[in-house]
Amino acid sequence: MDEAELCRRFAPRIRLYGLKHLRDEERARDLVQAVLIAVIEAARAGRIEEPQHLDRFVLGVCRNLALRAHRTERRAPEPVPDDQLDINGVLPATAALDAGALLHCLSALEQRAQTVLMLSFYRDKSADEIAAVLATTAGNVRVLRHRAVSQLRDCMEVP
Amino acid sequence: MSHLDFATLVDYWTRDLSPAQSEDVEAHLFACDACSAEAERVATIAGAFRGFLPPAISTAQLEELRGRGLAIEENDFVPGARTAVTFAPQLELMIHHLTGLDLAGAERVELTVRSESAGMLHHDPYAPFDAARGEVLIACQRHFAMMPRDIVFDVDVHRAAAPPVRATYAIPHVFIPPAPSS
Repeated sequence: MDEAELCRRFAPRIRLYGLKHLRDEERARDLVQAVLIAVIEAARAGRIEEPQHLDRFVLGVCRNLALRAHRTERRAPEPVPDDQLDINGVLPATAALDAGALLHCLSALEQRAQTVLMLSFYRDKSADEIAAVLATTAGNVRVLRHRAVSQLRDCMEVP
Repeated sequence: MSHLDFATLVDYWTRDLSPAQSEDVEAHLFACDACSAEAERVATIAGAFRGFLPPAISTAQLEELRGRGLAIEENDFVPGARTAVTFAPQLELMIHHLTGLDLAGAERVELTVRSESAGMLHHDPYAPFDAARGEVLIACQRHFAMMPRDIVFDVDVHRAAAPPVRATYAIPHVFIPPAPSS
């Protein structure tokens, strides 16, 4: 796999990992840059022992740099100057969904499903915590949630 | 390679998998194009929520909104009263201060937004609250114009080993759209 293909293939996955763990678009993009540069440098230096499992190597670097970011509580990983690696060409444009459209699609869901989504994604409550206040089971919360996300995805025409 | 089901991807994104399960999902996502694309869709939905300003906001969020220089009008309301509001064309946001609440010792505050004619519109069992000021803040946004006008806010204050205490605020809304730009 050449370097351009490596960037095209892994940049979106690293961004997703960053969004999940660092919870911020800008920090996720910083992570993409830092990880790709580290991986490319390792590849050029012949330090990737199992090239057939490049995905594992990239994930390992990703975990290490994200963990370092948490430990140091900086806006880390340290942003790499843009001219060293332009990631914009290998990352999808951020899909900003309209708040009005979200409200419209939410209103089409049953009230309990709306509450589950809001508590999950906005208030960061676990299925157990949500189950406790809605007098149901965590399993039921999960079922409500994935069905509701699926309906929202279709309603909002997420590509 | 078998694919991850959609429910697992949602559980992963909402942190409802064990650390070991999450690591397995991440390893799969880095290797699988189809599941990575599906995870991107879940992330887009989650991102929409994070960018969404819910009806109940914290004092810190209000400070942040004030700092953005938005055209904001703030109004105070007391429980039991019926007070109409007009969302004027020049406004970007209205902040309703639902005051007069005894929040000492509150474990959580539950907010229900309902229409007197159409029933429940929004339910937030973990609404932020300001115990020192005894208030809950509502961020009334222009796109709420799509909701019914006869709005009522029910605030239930929950304390340990005690039934919730409810305060009700009837606040009919009128939204005047901004003039179309030429």
